[in-house]
Amino acid sequence: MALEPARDGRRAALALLLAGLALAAALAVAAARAWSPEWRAHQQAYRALGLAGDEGALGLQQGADCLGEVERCATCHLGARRPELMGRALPAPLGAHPAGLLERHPPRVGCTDCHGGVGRALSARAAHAMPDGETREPQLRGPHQQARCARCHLPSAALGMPRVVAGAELYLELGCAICHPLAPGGRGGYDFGPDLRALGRRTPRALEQSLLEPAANFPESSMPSFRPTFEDQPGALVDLVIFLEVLGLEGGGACGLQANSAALAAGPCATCHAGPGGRAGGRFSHRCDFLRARAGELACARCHPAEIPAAGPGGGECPAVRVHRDACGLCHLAADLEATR
Amino acid sequence: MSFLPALLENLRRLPARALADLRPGRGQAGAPGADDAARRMRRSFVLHLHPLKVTERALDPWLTLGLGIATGALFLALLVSGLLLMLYYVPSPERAHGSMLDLEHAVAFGAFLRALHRWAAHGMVVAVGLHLLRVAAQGAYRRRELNWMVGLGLLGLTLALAFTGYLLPWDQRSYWAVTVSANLVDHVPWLGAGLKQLFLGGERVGAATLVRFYALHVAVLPVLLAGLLALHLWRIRKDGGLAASAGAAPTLPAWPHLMLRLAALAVGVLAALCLVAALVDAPLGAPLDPHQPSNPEKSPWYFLGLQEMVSYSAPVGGLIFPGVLGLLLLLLPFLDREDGAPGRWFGDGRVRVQVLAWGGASAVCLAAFVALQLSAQARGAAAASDLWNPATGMLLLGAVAFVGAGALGRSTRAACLAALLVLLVALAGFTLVGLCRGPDWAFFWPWEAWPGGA
Repeated sequence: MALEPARDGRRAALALLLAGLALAAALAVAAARAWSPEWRAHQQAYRALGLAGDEGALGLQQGADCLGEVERCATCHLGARRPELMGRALPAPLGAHPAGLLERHPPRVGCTDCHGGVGRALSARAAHAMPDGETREPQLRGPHQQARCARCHLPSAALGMPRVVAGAELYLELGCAICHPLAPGGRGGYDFGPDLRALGRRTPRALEQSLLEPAANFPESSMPSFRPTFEDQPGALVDLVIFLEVLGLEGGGACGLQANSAALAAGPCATCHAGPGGRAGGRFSHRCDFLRARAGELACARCHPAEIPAAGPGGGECPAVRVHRDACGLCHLAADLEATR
Repeated sequence: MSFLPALLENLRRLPARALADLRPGRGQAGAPGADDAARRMRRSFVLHLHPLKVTERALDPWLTLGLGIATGALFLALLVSGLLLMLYYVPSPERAHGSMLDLEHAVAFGAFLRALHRWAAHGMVVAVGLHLLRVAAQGAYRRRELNWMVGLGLLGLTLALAFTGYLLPWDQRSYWAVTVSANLVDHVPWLGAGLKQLFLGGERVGAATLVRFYALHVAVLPVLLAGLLALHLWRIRKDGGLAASAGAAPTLPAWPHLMLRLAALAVGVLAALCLVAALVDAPLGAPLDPHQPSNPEKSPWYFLGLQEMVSYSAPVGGLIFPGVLGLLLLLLPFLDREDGAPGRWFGDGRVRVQVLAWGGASAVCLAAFVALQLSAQARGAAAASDLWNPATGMLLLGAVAFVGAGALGRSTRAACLAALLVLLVALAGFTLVGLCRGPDWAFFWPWEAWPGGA
């Protein structure tokens, strides 16, 4: 290798210069991407429509949901809280919220409180996190959105949650609570199933799969398949899934509706047997009433059809309760049970 | 002179004196025979990396492939981007994932910084691995035994840094990857459970693990790595520069010929890294959910080969294979004391033939072993014994290669390099197989869709 020192020195310097230029170019690409996020285009469209009163007021819009979690939805959904824009045909993220619900909620209720999604994200793909996307807090769509109402409100058809109520009833009728107890601190008759308050965070599709093919996610699962049950009523399957989604949501405690969320946490029984303050009313008798009324449907009643006594004074203690003593935890708090014994 | 006039005089002459006195290399300017380039080299701390004059051979890009410099450049990028990420990241289970989302969406250049850090980390693991391979293949560990050991330490620290950083996003991917990798530690006899407890700060990955990994990632490991790196660079100079340039008389001044080349390479690596980071976002998964394991649960790619072997046999993959490989790397400069062919890939003549032949044979054997294993799995046939699997086969082949190449090539270097190549081919191959694993650790080609459409 014959090397001319002067020429080689120049070549090396040129290589360094070219590498430096390449670095500058790469940084320019990075800057171009960083300065042109998705939301700027929406805000430009908003300005172009003459909707931005004060030009300087726009930019990153940051709020909080009722638990104080940051949400930045308003950065793109610029007209969401401007009822005066209602009725105007505006392009997708800019329009006003549909009438009816927004004005009935206090302002501290954030977008994600009802819609779910990832509040901190600023790209549609990350923020909306569609139900089938890989996310724990999916933006629930269609009937699934009813699940989010139950985060703060007691499930009731009158409040627009008929599918949650239907799902809660299914949960009891199918005997889910036998293996998957709901009450905090309470244990079911059998300590078989995992805590559904954690599992409810799965995507709707994963929940459906768990019901139809329990072994698909967990090969050692001893849970029976509920495919025959839902064969000819897919709507009922969705109802149950919606109820399971309710269990997976964290309550909106900071909104001043703690009583409601506590009652909800006390068990799905409160849905049907709401006593004072929304708590499940009554103790053993209620449980026995419930068992008796559903004797034909309950899983336990299939094994012990004759043992469920009449309710009320003199009816005696329900043997199902005696045998599965801890089954009371299905609906009752552990502390309540201690007080009763 | 009284106090005040002296002070005024000093203040008046401060700018000129500062310029003169703070110039690096003061007092060496008049060294006998010093030309411009030599003065520049002497003045600069950084340029002391190489001697004043180098051989023409040292400029050959195929000699070292610049892997050490590339690793250094990536480490620099990691330090800078890591320090900036530290300003936003919060190492608590409640806020870690939220701070990642903030970085990704609300912080100026946050997504770029995160991508830069992520891709530089993967790149550094690759570069360190290839650097080690290059040094081993050229026999450049000879007469540099201490620096070879320091280099192995740097490899370990790089892997530890990459692994501790993997947990910090606190998403599904990181949680389950660290859980699976921590379970690999379980296979260490006697110490396994204790070690796992030490790493995780509990029985399972939790808040204590996050703080532990964070402290290791941002303080302990980088400081150790920087210290070892300084030692590594100093030893290069002390050991006489590049191993390959030993023997020939140095004729060319290192400045500008070598130094500008190194600078161009480092800047070029940074440019490529920045371009990748600008175009490809770092992945961020769903917030972690301990109740919803991802299927398959995969460790980071650099441990995937071990995980694949553990799926055949826990003791082989979790202990014996990494143990044998580590021991071979540690003992390499003491098993091979031959001095021939410095800087030649895989030695010379007989040695090269032996090493490459055994390396090629190992690739063929690996493919055959894996094919047998996969077809047995597909048939659902129970393995005759837990120990009879592709990983054990490759270990045996490594032993055969050690003896065979050594005897046929009449060279300890041929024996060591052949065995090392067989083991590294196995590790690379098992990593590729691991990448192809889908739900329930079933094998899928990259173009096949997984059932369930995850």
